[in-house]
Parts: sequence; structure tokens; C-alpha cells
Amino acid sequence: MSTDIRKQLDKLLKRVEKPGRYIGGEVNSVLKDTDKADVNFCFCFPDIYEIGMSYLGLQIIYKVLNDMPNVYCQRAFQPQTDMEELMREEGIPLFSLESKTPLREMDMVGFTLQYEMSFTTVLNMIDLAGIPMFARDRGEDMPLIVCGGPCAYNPEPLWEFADAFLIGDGEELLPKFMDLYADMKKRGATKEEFLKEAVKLQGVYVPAFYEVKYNEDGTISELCKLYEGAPDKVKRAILPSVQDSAFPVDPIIPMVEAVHDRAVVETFRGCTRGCRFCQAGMIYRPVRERTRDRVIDLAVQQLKNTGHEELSLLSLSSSDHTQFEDMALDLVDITKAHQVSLSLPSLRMDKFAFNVLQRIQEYKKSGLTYAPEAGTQRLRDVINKGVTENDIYTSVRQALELGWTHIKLYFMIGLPTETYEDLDGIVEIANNIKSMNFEINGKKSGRFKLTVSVSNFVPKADTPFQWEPQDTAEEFRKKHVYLAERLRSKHIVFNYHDNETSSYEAVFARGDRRTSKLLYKAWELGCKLDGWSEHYRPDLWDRAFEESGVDRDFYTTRKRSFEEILPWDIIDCCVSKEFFKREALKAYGEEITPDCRYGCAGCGINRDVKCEKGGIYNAQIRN
Amino acid sequence: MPRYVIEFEKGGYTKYISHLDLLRVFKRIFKVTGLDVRYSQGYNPHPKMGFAQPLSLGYSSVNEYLEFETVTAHDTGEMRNVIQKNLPHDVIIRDLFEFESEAKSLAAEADACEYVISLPYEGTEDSFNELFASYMAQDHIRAMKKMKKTKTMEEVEIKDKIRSWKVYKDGDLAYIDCILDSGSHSNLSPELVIKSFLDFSQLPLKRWDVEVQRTQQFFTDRIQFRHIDNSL
Repeated sequence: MSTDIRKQLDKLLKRVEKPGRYIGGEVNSVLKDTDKADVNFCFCFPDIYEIGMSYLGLQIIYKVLNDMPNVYCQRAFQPQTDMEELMREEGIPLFSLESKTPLREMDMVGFTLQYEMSFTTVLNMIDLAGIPMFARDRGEDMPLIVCGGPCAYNPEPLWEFADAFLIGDGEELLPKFMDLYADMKKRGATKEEFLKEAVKLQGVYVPAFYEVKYNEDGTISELCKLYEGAPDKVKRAILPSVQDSAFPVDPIIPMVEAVHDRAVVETFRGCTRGCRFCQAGMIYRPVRERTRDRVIDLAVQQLKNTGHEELSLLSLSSSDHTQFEDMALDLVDITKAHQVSLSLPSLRMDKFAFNVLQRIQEYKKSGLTYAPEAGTQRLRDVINKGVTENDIYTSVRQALELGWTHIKLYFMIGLPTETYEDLDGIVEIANNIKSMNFEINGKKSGRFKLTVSVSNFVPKADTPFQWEPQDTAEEFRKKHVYLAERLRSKHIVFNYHDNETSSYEAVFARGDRRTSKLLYKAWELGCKLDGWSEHYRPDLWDRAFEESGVDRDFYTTRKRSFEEILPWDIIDCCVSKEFFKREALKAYGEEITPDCRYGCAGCGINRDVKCEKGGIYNAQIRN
Repeated sequence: MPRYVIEFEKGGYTKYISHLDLLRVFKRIFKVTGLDVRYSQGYNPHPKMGFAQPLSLGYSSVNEYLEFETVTAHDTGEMRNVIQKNLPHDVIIRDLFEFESEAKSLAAEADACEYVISLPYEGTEDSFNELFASYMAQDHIRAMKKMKKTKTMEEVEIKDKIRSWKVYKDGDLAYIDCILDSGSHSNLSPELVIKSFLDFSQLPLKRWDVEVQRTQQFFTDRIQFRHIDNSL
């Protein structure tokens, strides 16, 4: 079926850096006959190979789809600039790594949306593939373009470019979507006919089936259905249990070193902590665990199959797994036996964690990271980050006594209700830790290093802070200067994020359909790979705002009212808006909501799926 | 300690896998297959293994060697099978044999390599032969080489490092089959031959129009593979 680009490709590969990114053929990559597949699908990660191949979701989807006999799932990434330039020069369209098939000859092309700053790269890849950019301009001969991932919970900035958005767990929805496509393709259905059927599946949003109307002040007045059969609200697809869901124990092993070259096991999906700024903590509810035995089985199989030298657990909060301690001890033994290193991210740094870390890091003590997120107890209560100053100091003291020399602290600035007192709190914590180190290790402990990283708060859709204004770039700048002046010490490294980037992120995180004009303009001017400082062009973004007429402040610094129709109201993430409102009001009252394992907080998720963790700690106490 | 050599081809797109990346691929395979490859002593133990000669990125080869040591002896046929199963598509094992030698390593005994350089050429075989012969008939063949230590470009004399050559044509391509010095005492990269020949001949070609394949590796007479003639 495919146009043969191999000969031309050979010439290009000799002229680019790291050509190994573009050749496929890795161990465990899948070769199928494209002519025999009912659905030829290309999974696209809108970033370069080394980043995309580190993403577990890709490996999961790749396995789920290629386990279907009638589907062939291949991969494509954004080429590095040198390769893209040559491809455009020589007229080679973006192609799949496996069979070198041009994307435009596929049935379907799917993008994962992991961060807003990758949106311009999505557009760039569509264009590099020689596919018309706008969904309305694509005929029956062009592939269907679908998008999924966390940023698809506010799909509107990409509404003109994608034919459909797949919301929720991909393992659940994608196979159904593919089967339906294969079936209707055989019956000769048009794209529109297919999409009209597809919206009956839970999780499928087709933007063309809706129209958005606006008030004079720019807010949304109405969301109208253009196709009667489309759902009033698109409810996300939910995998009820992850225990036995497909998991890649034989993942593709990149030959060109990826950012994370390691075995990964997802221990659970979801989180019960309820931090009010955290989108992941809301949209992945409820907590669904793999049992200790299953996690260990997946880890052992994967290590055996891949020869990876590192094993990492993946979840939103490692220590919250109900069998965490036993599981961690087992994994320490297993990784020792396999001579691989174990990494346990997002640990709660209690006594147990230190015991485990002592055993796995031994003489190689890497840094320890804490994320208090805010500098004062008041503000931590506002954001519902259930960490006290005492927790941090007790833990850091122990770390210093045990010989860790590098401590990292993560904070966010620009959080709702924040004042300069809260920034003083950050300085105070840093200084206290510094003195604590002097007290324990003496004034001369030259190796001690404290890294303070602050990121800028970006309000996200489907969180209690979805109505909140963001600081202006100017305010962020002032706060950075304020902190930098007060954190000057040879033992402290102070890091902060770029301000402009945070405001673009914020525009798209809560943008409506009109922001697609900005996105298109930015891409047209040459923006892509915006997450990379060497490619990021703030000057072009400024021009894009000007030329597209999109008012940045309307999306970033404006406080929205609870009554306002939000662009993402069309998507139902299964956590109720009422819950978000309640949580927002509690935030203003500086009132915390305990982890819902101490009692159900009433987020509404259990209307759609069984939530197994609500109140379990109390049940344990009663027993 | 038992010592083995894998002889393999690096074909298809794997010519775009770098030397270091391929080394990692093999290292990982030893781990997956559970072969008791011997590790070096020290703080950061690494498996005792190495290629006879690095191969430049973009070159294919039908004659690559990787040597390694194991703690216990193994059946070479079985080892060959399990390793092949874990290799990327287009890296093909041609042989795996036990290797007894006093030599410290294959790399230390490398002496010369045969390469086939191919390029598009419209004329006849005879005219190409004439062209290359006149290139070789120069009193001196000089090429610019980047010096390892100073990182500067310096002119070097390469003629005496080209041990033998012959050319032929097949279809639209002309082939230069040559044996070049390739060892620690004297070394010549095919890149310098290509560059100086393109400059000399004024053929309207870019570097990327030219393909290179390594076809054979030669060692000093201290290395004798019992079943392969690897002497010049």
C-alpha cells in the first residue's frame, strides 16, 4: 500500500545527528503486513524520540493495539530540526518508524497530549505528514486524526485540527474504537458515518458535532449540539480495574538511549490526597491498584525480558499503595538479585522510607526531594497539601543525619490567596534546613547542597482551582526576584521556570475554541518543540497573540465565576463540578479536606465506578 | 576463562546505530540471556567485551567481531541462538566460536580492513577504472584530517596506507574495493579516501551519495581464527 520512501530516506539519514531515532527495528517493535491490517494506526508523540520512548503510555497502547490481530499500531515522533529541514527539502512526508509508511496513508493517526507546550508540535507533525491541518479540509482519502491524554480533558484549543478526542483510559476505549472503525470501514462507511456511531462509545468527543456561542463579554453563552445523536456531555472512559489490564512486560527497547531507559511498573492509577491544584489527582480517580503480587510479577517479567538496569515504580504517590511496605521490601530483594537499581519516586519520607532508601542506595546516596508546594501552613491548607512543617523538618533532619547531602525542595508560586508572607515562608524553610545541616554536620560540610525549585502555578481544568486567576508574568517576575534576593547562599541553588511559558500553558489549559487561532498562528510563525529552551521562541509567541487577536489576560489573569460556562464543561471527568466548587470555597476558608481514605469526600466518582478506597482507614480503625 | 567471538553482519537500517549504542545492545543481551559474562573488577564493574574495530555511523558491514569472556564454558550453538533472538532486526550472527589466544584483545591486534565504497557513476567500468587509477597514480594523496588531540584540521599523506584496490561497475553504481590500514600503528579512515577522491575526480556527488560497507577485517599474525583465513 505504501509509497516507498526508503531509498530517499537512506540519503537523509547520513546527514543527520543520531539517525538511529528514525529507523525503528528495535527489539520488541512489531512488524506486521500493513496490507493485511484492517486498521493502520500511527501513535504519535509530539516530541522527539528520546522523550516519547520514555513514556509508559506509549508502550501500553502499542501492546494493547498490536495484540489485536486486525490492527497495526506503528509509531512516529517529531524529528529533530536537522531531520525536519531535510525532509521538507527532499519532500519526504512524516512516516512511521516500523514500515516507513507515510502517515497520510494510514487509516488513523493518534496524538497523545501530555503537556500544553506540545500543541504546536502536534500541528507541525500533521503538516510534516502532508495532511491538511484542519479537520474540515480532510477528505475521505486522509486519515482520521484523534487525540487523547490528560490535556484532552480540555480539548477545545485543538478542536479544529482533530476529528475526535478520546477521553479517559486508553486501554478501555481504544480497542472498542478500533473494532468499530474496522467494522464500518469494511461496510464502506464515510468518516462522518463512523464518527456518528463512535460518539455512542463512552469517552468519544467529536467537536464538529457541537457549536459554541459566546456572550458579548467573551464568555460562553451556549453549547449547542449540531448532531442529535451526540451526547450532551462526554463522559470519560474508565477502566474499572487495572489489576489484569494489559501491561507491556516486553516493551520496545530503544537502541538510541531514551531519557528514561528503565523498567517501569504502574502500581496504581489515581490518588486520594485531593491537592486542589492537581489535575492528575482528579482526572485519574478512583484509585485502582495492582496487587503486590501482580506488581512483582510484572517487574520480574520485565527485568527478565529487557535486561534493564533500573526499575522504577509509577504512580501519583508511591507510599499510598495499600501493600506498599511489603512490596517495597520484596522489590529491594529482587532488584538486588538482578543487580539492577530501584527507584521509588514520590515517596512519603517516613521512617520506613528511610529504611528502604538506606538499603537501596547504600553508599551512593542521591538527592532527596520534598514537595511542600507552599511556604506557610496557611497556604498549604489552602491547596490541601497535607504536609506540616514538622513533617518536613523531622524528615530532613533524619536525612542529614543518615548522610544525604543534597536536598531538593519544590514549591509553587502564584497559588490562590498567596501573599509575600508565604514567600517568606519558603525562605524560612530553606534557612532552617541550612542551619539544621550546620548543626548536624558542622559549618564545614562543604558538600551540602539545597536546591529550591519554584514553578509557576497554572490553573487547570477539572480541579477546584479551575476558576482561579493566574499571576501576570510581571507578578511572577517580581516574586522570582524577591526570592532570589533572599535565597543567596553558596549552599542554596535557586531554580525557577520561565514566566511566559507558564502563561501560554495557562491559555491552553483553560482555553476555548477561539484559542485555536492563536495556536495555528504560533505554529505558522515557526513555533514548535516549545518545551525545549533552544527551540522556544517567545518573540514569535508575542506576535502570534497580536496577530490572532487572542486576549491573553482573558484566559489567564481573569477570575471566573462559578456560574460561567467553562469551555471544558462538555467533558465529564466524572468528578462533580459541585465537589470542585465545595473544595474551592473550603480553600478560601483555609480549611483542609482529609485524604478520602479517612472518609469519603463526596467527589462523585462512585456514581460511575466503584471507589474502593473511600474511608478505608476508618474501617481499619473500627476493625 | 573461556573466550568467545561473535562474527556478525550489520545490515539494513542498523548501519545507523552507533558503535556505543550497539555495545549497549549486546551488554543488555548478556544480561537478558543470563550468560555469565565476566565482569571487570572495581567500583563500576562492566562486562568484559569489546568490538575488534569500531564501525563508523552509516557504514554497513558483513564482517564485524565482538569478543567476550564468560565465567564458565558454554555450547557455542546454543549461545548463538539465544543471542540472535534478542538482537535487533538486521543484526545477523554469522558465526560464534571459541577463541583461544595470548593476545590481549582483538582490538590491539587489528591491522587492516577491506571496504567496498559505492557511488553513482554514469560512465563505463573502464573509464571509472582509469579515473581511480589516475587518482592512485598521484605522487602524493593528501587529505585533511581532524587531529584527535589538537582538534584542528591537518593535511596527512594517505597513499601508503591504501594497501590494495580494485574497481568495478554494477548497474548505475561504481564500486571501489580497497584494503586500508586499520590499527593502532597506522590507520586510514575510508572518509579520507572518499573526500580526496571526490575532490580529485570532481564528480558531482555529495558525501551522502556514497555508501560504505566493511567486508573484511584483518589482524596481525598473532591472531589466528582457526577456521577463517584472516591473514592478508
